[in-house]
Amino acid sequence: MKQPVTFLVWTDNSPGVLLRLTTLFTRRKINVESLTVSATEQEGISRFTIAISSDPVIAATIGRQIERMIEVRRVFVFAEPDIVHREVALVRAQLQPDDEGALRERFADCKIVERGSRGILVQFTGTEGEISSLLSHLEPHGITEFVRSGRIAVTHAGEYDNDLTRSLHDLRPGASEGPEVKGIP
Amino acid sequence: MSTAHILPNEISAPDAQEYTGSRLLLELLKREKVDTIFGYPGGAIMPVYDALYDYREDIQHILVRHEQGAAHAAEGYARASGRVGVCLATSGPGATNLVTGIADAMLDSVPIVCITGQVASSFLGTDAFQETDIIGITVPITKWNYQVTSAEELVSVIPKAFAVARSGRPGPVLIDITKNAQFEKVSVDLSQAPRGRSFECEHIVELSGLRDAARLLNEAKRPLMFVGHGCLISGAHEEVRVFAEKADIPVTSTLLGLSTLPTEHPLHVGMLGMHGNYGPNVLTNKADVIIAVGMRFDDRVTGKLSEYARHAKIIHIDIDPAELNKNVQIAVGIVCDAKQALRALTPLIKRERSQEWFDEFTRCHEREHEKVISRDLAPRDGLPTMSKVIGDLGVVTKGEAIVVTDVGQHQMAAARYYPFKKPNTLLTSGGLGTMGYALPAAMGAAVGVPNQRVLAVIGDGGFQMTLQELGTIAQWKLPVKIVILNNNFLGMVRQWQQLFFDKRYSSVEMENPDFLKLAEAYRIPSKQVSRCCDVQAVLTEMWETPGPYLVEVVCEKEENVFPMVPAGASVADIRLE
Repeated sequence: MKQPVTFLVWTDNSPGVLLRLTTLFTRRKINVESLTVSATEQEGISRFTIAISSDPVIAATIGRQIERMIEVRRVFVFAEPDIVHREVALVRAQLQPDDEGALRERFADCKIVERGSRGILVQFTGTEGEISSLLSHLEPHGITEFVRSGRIAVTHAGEYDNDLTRSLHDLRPGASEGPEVKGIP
Repeated sequence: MSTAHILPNEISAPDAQEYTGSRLLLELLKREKVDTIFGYPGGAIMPVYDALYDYREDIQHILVRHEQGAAHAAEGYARASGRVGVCLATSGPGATNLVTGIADAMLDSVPIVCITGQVASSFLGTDAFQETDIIGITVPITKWNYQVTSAEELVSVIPKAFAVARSGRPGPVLIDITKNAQFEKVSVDLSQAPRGRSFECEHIVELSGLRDAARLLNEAKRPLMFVGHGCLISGAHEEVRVFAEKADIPVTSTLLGLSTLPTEHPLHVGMLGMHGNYGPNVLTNKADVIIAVGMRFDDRVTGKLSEYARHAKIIHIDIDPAELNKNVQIAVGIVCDAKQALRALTPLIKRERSQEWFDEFTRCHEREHEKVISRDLAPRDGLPTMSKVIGDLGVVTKGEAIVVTDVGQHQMAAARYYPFKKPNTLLTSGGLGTMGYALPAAMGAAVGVPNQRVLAVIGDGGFQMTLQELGTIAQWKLPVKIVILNNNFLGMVRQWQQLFFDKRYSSVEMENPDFLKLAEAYRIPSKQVSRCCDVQAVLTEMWETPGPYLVEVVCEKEENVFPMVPAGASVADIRLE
């Protein structure tokens, strides 16, 4: 039974890691639904957030296969409620000034970035579901451009505090403690 | 890359010497105690070949006839000697020709380092002459790969490559070096350069399951031990024997685990898998506890997973945590090197022999003997069977050869009928099932362990996939004894077509060359034999003649390998005929 699974992966920031990581999904014909990578607070370390929909047992196996990559320092594999996740969306819509009030009322966190001939550009941060609601709200007005960032995610407060504060440089690449797996049988 | 920070600050200038990237590479290979490279030159690797000319006292370069041969030879060298095998090729086609060997090494956990030349970094991505993205191509089939674009990177990348290849679960590493990095001059103090050890993957040994494992085993009525390639890689043959004897437990082996225990050891009950022995397969489904060491429950071992070992609690010991719970649900997992785990587990074992359980194996063996083995080993008349030839080879070589097989029916015959005496004496392509593996791998083994005699058993199909390496064997006078089991068929495929495709023999018959003339062309002595009664005499002559030798045995055309677990069937449904 497929369900949403999120991988948090910390790796050395080196070329080729992205390709090696993604082949572990593509070789099973699993579509990566969202992938974000960026530098972290620790120099030389990158952090991946990868969202897929998969059989959770297979996801756990993939987590172990990711962890044995030489450049990988740490892997978390989490089912949906066990993780705090957000996306950023930028939506340009032909919204009339009169309609802005209703937008702000419903989506308090949204921000108008610029106004122009193709409408107003709205920036919004929320879960995938909230972004879909925003889209539904703006659709009748005519959407002229839309992009979403893909998921980024962190663990819940109080979880893995010790693990997440230690330096990843102390962990040798390829050192296997087994991935943290949560919410998966 | 994370290791680049080591340079240049930590290199003290006064003792630094100037090297080209190529010379630096060879100095670093020397430091890794590399004595042999299998390779083939070409445009983008010429600076390294030029430097090799000055290092020929330290590093012998074996010029193969095709880069696939270099990769398999490096594998054979590594598996026979226990050291990391090294191969060298140019960019483009040179690199892509290595791919099959690299994939083979990945699936069978063989430590090799492949070094490829690459176009100059200023040409990368321009579709330059002989440019291929070999890093991209080999991502899924290497344990690690890396492209070096400046000479100074070599100082950390080369020791890391060897450490990654040999440590933990071994595997292939590919290092692609752009031509400018081979030419570039760099000042390095090698005494300050990092040692491989600092890059070794440190597996956190998870031994907490030991007590649970011991309790399960001590209470078991029908326990069974599986040994795999991991036992041989770890050098744990003695620990396996001591453990098995203390536990008084039947031991069965995967294809790649064969020779961990001598075939004749009283606890050794045969081989697992599709063409394994009857007892180990059928009784897997009756066992109450299975302890699996250094193996990965490959589909050729398990058959239909949903009906596999349903009554057994499985204890799985493997150095690679990704193998635990991958294919079968286990009761106890121990992430550890086989030798270390067995040493820790053995003192906790205290159990009585279950004679009834052993009797079941004996009954199974008797059944298999009656239905299969007796017929295989004593062909009624006509041409020799592959099994008979392997049996004769066992007699002639006294079970002391390093047996290298290709893939197919002869491989299964060798696995089933060769009487292995010493550990690590079967080199075969298990995971990838690479036809064409045997000849170059045997060549590599002959170089890696010159004091041991190497026997290559090959079918007529697989032989013709890499027969050009006869040239390498002849040039280097490598004492490889080659036995071609010729049935003029791609026998295993033909067997499947006979059994599962209504005997529709589609593209399996081969019109072969005169193998003796072929050997003669390469100035390799050879003989053909086609009568059962002559086989031993010819094989003896081969075995006792110094240097390479080729024997073609004209075999029964339509011999089938049994027992057989049909694809997708349960191991309990293994067929004896």
